[in-house]
Amino acid sequence: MLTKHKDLISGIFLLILGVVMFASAQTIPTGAEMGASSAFMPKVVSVMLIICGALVAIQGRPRKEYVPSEGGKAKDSGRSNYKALVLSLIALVAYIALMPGVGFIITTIVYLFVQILIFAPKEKKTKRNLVLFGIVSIIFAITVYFIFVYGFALMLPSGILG
Amino acid sequence: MFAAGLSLVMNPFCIALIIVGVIVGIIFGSLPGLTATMGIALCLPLTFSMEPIQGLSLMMGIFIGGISGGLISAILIKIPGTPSSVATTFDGGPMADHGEAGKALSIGVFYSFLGTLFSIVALIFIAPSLADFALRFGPYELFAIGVFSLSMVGSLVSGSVVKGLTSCVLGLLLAQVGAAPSSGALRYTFGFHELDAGFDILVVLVGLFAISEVLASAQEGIGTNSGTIRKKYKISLTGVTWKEFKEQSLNMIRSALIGIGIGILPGIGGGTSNIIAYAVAKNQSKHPEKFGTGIPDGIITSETSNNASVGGALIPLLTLGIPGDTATALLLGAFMIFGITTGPMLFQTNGDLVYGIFVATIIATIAMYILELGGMRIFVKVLSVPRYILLPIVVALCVVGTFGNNSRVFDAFAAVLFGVVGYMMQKFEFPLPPFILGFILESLIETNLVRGLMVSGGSFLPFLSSPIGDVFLAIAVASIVFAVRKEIKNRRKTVTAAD
Repeated sequence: MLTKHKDLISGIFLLILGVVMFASAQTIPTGAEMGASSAFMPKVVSVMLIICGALVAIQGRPRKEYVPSEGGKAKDSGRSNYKALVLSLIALVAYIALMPGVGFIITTIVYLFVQILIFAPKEKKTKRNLVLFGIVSIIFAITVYFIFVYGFALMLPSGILG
Repeated sequence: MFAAGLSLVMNPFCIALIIVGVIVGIIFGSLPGLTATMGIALCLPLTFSMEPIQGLSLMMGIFIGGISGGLISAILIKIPGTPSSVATTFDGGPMADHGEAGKALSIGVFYSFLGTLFSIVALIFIAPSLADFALRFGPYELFAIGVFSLSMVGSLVSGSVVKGLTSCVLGLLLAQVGAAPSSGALRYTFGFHELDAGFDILVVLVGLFAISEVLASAQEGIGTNSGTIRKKYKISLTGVTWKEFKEQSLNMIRSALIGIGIGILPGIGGGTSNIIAYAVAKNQSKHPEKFGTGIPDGIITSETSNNASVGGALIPLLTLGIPGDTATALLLGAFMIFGITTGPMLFQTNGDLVYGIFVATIIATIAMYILELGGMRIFVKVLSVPRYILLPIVVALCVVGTFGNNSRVFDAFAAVLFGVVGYMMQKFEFPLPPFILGFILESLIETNLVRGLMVSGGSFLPFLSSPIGDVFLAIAVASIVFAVRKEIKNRRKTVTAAD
């Protein structure tokens, strides 16, 4: 069901987004500039977005005869794993959020290990491989930390370790 | 002077620096999340204690290695290592899927080599007059070029032109976040002061391509079979037969010229030229529908143009003291650190150094060619790590890159946001390249629109008064008309097919 109405949904969403952006553009401070005001491009582009959104929605309107969806990678095979998607997103956000506090090395090790686990197909999750994943995570995190902090003087948070 | 330049560079330490630079550059370029510009920035402090020619040789090595290195990950894992290799993923990825990764890599390296060489020749022989010509490009012309580049969107999309246009508009919109060009008024920042400078291209690129890929992989699953790139690679010296080379020569020359031209223009460089060259090549090709399925043409045009932009960006830097893109802006910084003023007098005051840079660049190009071909087995081995381990590592690197760019966590979060955006766009079948194009070009277009209007006193008519500008605008209009016609034809086809 979602597939058939993809365009309609995205089109309407974009249309609304365009309206919101246009409204927001009204609050951009203008005046005192010569030439186009600072709100000019935002307004023009949000209007374009509204038009585009409308066109996409019209393109996707429910029709009597079945119109195959345009090219692109519509991979709606049965293997959709939204749980993994959400977990990955949470892991990533947590990683970034915790990095300054807990430190680069520890958070990176944990994140890598977790994310590999999320990705790895069941058959690969043997005890031996788990150890491998852990080692890879540790080596990578430490190597990157030392190369960047000591080699390039690029500061990475040391968090609770430093 | 050439001889003097040669003698400046031809000593073991300098050459060693160039080679080290190229290696560092290739590593930075091939790893998504790190870019050539970042490599240069990070190594800049190392040059403080060096002689000017040594420091600059190192920088050039990193620059060239970096711009070209992006093709490796673009082809092998379909994530561009740098913005300059976005278009390489279009055909490089499919070629790798078909087991032709070796050929794709060889082509990429060879044509990167040719592209750089081409632009260096241009740099050496026609730099001053080219720079002179480019100086005459005022706001009207630059605006027209920006619009023209945007109109290439139509050629980039194989599917719905409307959706391509929408992607482009979204890119334009998101590029406006931050301070407006001339007034500095804050737009769309919603109180977040981290957004005052807008989104960084690295953040957008990493999010849109790398993080969205991770999200998509999580959702679609990584099978054991599709998890690794295990095919045997045959790396050849050029990747093409003599016959193919001749057939592609027009493509190559045109892409190189586009690369040099865009490199010369201030503010845009390899990141823009590869996409534009690709669009033009597709437009002009006798078989446009094959683009994106894995043909050499796509890789040739992308890699030739992005490397040609290296030489192109050096032209305004050396002759006028104006950086052509972000990497050359850093080089300008390096010059200042060494106490050298670039500009028209550079050839007189530091002629030896300038020719030394030319020589260093040529050596770097050759080194890049040799190192990339020779080291290809290593790259392939590294990137053949199972995808379920490789992708998390890539993400971690991207976090390092985006965080380290400005030392703030906000950028890393922004990358995740763009990752979600990219993922949604792919799910709803909106193409990504037009988004990038819109994002990169917004600044060029708006800045020159504003300047042009200031010059003309608020009226749009004078924008048509420049002959060069008119040419570009005319081509832009023609492209749009063709794109619309193509879309209408497509509509008609699907409707009749459904009957």
